[in-house]
Amino acid sequence: MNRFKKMAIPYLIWMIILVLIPIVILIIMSFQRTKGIKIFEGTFNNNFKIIFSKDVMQRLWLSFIYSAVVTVFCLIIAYPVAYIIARANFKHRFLVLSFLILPMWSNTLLRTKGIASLFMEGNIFTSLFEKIGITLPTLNWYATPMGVITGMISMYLPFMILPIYNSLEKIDKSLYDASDDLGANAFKTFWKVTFPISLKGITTGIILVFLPCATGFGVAEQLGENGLIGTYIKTQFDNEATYGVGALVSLIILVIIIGALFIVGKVDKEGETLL
Amino acid sequence: MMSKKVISKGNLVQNSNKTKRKLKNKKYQVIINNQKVLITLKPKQMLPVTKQQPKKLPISYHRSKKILATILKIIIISFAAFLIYVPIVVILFQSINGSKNNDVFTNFSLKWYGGLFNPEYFLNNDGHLSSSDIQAAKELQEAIFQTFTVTISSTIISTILGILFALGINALSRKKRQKMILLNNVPIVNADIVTAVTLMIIFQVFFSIFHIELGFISILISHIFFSLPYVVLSILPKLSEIDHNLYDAAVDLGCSPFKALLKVIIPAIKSGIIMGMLFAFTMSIDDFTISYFTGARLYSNVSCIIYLRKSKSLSPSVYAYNTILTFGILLVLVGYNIYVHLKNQKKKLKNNKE
Repeated sequence: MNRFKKMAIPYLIWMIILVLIPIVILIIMSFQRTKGIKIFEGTFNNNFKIIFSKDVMQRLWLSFIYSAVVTVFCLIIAYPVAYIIARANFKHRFLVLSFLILPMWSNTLLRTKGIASLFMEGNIFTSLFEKIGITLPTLNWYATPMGVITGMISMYLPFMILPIYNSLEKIDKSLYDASDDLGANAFKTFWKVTFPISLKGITTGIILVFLPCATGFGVAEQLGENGLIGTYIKTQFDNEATYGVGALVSLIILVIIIGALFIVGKVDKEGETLL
Repeated sequence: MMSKKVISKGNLVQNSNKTKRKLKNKKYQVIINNQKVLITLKPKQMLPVTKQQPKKLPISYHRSKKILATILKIIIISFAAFLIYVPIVVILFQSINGSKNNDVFTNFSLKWYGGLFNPEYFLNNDGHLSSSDIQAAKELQEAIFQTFTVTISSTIISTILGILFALGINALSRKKRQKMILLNNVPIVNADIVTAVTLMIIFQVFFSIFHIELGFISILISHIFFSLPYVVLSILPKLSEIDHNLYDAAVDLGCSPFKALLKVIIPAIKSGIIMGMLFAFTMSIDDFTISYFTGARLYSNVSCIIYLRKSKSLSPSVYAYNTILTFGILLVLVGYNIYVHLKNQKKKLKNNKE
């Protein structure tokens, strides 16, 4: 099968063109403030002053806090769910799991819009229940931290359940028996056997939840939150004159992510963590 | 007359640990009247060697404990399901709402479902709707068509390319392979917005050379770009499990390399390919950020339409679309499960007969 070696070369070229070259351009752009992309004729301009302004720092901090809270809650809810399904003596486990991850295939933005409408006064549920004669209390969570976090948890929970379930499912059942035979109680078995093996799944889940929460803008904007870093980058690229600032902020995010990727690569060299 | 002499301790106790030794009977070989006799001495306190049996509790206790655990499990799972399904239910009600205002439920109506297929017919016979609503519905129709065009073509292309690239990566030496996998992981781990920005930049640079505007081609390339790593990652583990000799044997027996690939390798990695395809499809159909940056102005998918159009100019048919999509996929999943179940039963029957 060694003759297939050559097929890795086009992939390498593809990756260089679509990953490495744009990053080089991004670095060049981050020092410029020109209209559009002008790699060779742009003038040097210090964008760092804008980056370290109070506005950007506040957005970075807010994005971090929101996504950390959402990730923690997702983990707290998803782990027991994945654990229960993975260890159930139930024949159609996969059906239950697929029921829980099914919304991954429906439109995220539309779902966010749906849950955001519930946080506003006069939504479809209140009008439905009014027909029966019940007045539902309004939540008034739109554009509040409570609403944003609840909405995000609702969106990203399946992305936490799936990888944790996958890692728990792979555990050899005889390990539990072995641990039991050797005298460990249920909690010790969980802490010393189940949990360490599921760490890979947890890592993947955290990557899948934390990153889009922290850097996305679609979901947050539908929930009424315009103060995150994703929105900032998006507005910089809406206007050709501020491409440089947007490039610099994206670069900062990229550096943070490369650091994370480096750590993941150290732990797991074959890249199995991610699936 | 009776001479007692202990000659040796029995070697019975050697293998157990100290605490257990106390509990075991001590055995001595004793010579009495020139005859070897084995004497067993019982220790003073005889403790049962076996584990102490737990106190027998009434069966109802165990049962109630089990039931409680089950109830707790059901509560946890239904809480998660509730969180996940609230928006789906909201969308379901909005899709069968007769009013154009999707926050007020007036009457049951399926016209938004009809509006998905024929806006003029289904939306025109209602006096409340203006031509702009029909326009919005038509725009949505186009967006749905464009979404599926991009998703299906990018899924097919990235699956084929992913198989080839995975084969290539698999054949590399260990170190090179690790580096390639690291590079392969970049688009997966990278934030959507950074990927989107970098792709937009490279497309703007390249496309300006050929005077093309960002649109279908750039969106298709970027969808292939972010689906490929998932395909590669799901195929690679399956490839490493294959016996390399199988392929060589097929070639030796006169298969062309392409035929050997098709007949030997592809069947062996089938599950990985399906998994990768599923990933590619999932990523592509729901993508917003990357499509938004790489050509939403000319070629919008459904997500971009939802984002760009404010509530009033967004056709409620989009709720119908999403409901159909969700329940369609639910049906496929349930159908697949039933199919697997039936297949297993058939196998069992066959085995029993044999």
